[in-house]
Amino acid sequence: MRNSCCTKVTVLLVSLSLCTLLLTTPPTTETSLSSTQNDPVALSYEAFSQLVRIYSAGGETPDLVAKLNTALDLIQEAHVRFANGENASAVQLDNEAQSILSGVISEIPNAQLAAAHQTSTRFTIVVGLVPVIVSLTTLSFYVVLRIRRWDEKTRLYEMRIIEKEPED
Amino acid sequence: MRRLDYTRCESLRKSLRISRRDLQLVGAFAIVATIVASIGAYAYLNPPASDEFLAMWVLGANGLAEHYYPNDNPNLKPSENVNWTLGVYNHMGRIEYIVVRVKLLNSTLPSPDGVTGTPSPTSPLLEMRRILVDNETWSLPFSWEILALAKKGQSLSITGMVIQQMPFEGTLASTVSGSQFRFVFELWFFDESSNDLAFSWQSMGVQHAVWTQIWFNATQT
Repeated sequence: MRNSCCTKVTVLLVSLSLCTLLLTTPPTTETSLSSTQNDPVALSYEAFSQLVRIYSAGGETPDLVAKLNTALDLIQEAHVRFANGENASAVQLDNEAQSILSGVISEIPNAQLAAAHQTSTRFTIVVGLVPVIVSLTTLSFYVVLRIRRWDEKTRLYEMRIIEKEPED
Repeated sequence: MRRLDYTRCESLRKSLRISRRDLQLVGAFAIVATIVASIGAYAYLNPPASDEFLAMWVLGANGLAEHYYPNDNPNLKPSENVNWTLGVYNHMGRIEYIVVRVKLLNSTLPSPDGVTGTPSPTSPLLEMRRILVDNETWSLPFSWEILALAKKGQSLSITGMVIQQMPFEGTLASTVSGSQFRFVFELWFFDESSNDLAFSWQSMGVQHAVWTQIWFNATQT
């Protein structure tokens, strides 16, 4: 009798803690994720935040910016159609915008790599150009100096000793 | 070792047939050239921060700061179409997510405050979005017309409008007396730190916010 009561209490406690666990953590994440996935504007913010990182690293992705702007135009057009009662075409435009935005987000890792490569290449070129420029200008200076010395020497060789005429 | 270096240097100098004074001159020039080239490379890789700003303007039907109203008459009747061109310029030194919020206000509703960076408390009728890279200008046509007006004593209300092909119904804006209304355009941008849209920003210790407005009179006759 006492054993069965204990079992019941244990089962009740386990079920209660399971319910609490299910109710607290996972649904929040799922809701926020699904709301972002279904809201093209939130998706556009996400895509933009990742684009910012590329541009901050010194990279450029004009094609992704153009795609993002196309998606924003479609969102705007979808709003106009919703307001005019053309719900079916508005939903279609919204879906189109979402697929473009998802495409942009999936292309961003490659663009980030390309931007990092672009930045390191630019750094290497600029830093590598410093000794080249220094060498070229110093060589030019040396050549000019040699020409000048040669000119001075030639003038010296061309000098003639002229006897001073006696004054009356 | 040092003696050896000096001897080697001397033999090189002699083989080049250059005087000690000229060699010193070339060495000094190389040092100066290295310093100048390094400063140039650093400046190219780390450009100095310039003043960050966003700009917005509204132009008339022909893209100039004139002819804002049909027949240059700001007293607008229902079904009179008005065409403007809205311009936004990004000089923030980075890519920006721009949102232009369009609000319809009367003369008594509070305007946005550029000094404190507070937007107008009125809800926007519509928003227009665009990604602008640094130094880019966005130009977009903005057309609208009043569809319906309602007069109650001294008060006049705009009850129907079409803005950018979107119809709006209901009491959009009312005046207590008179017929003065205004379109307020607020420039918002996406702020990654707060993960939300922001109306103002700080540049060189100064608060900045961008907005503009155009007045018009609504009239039934």
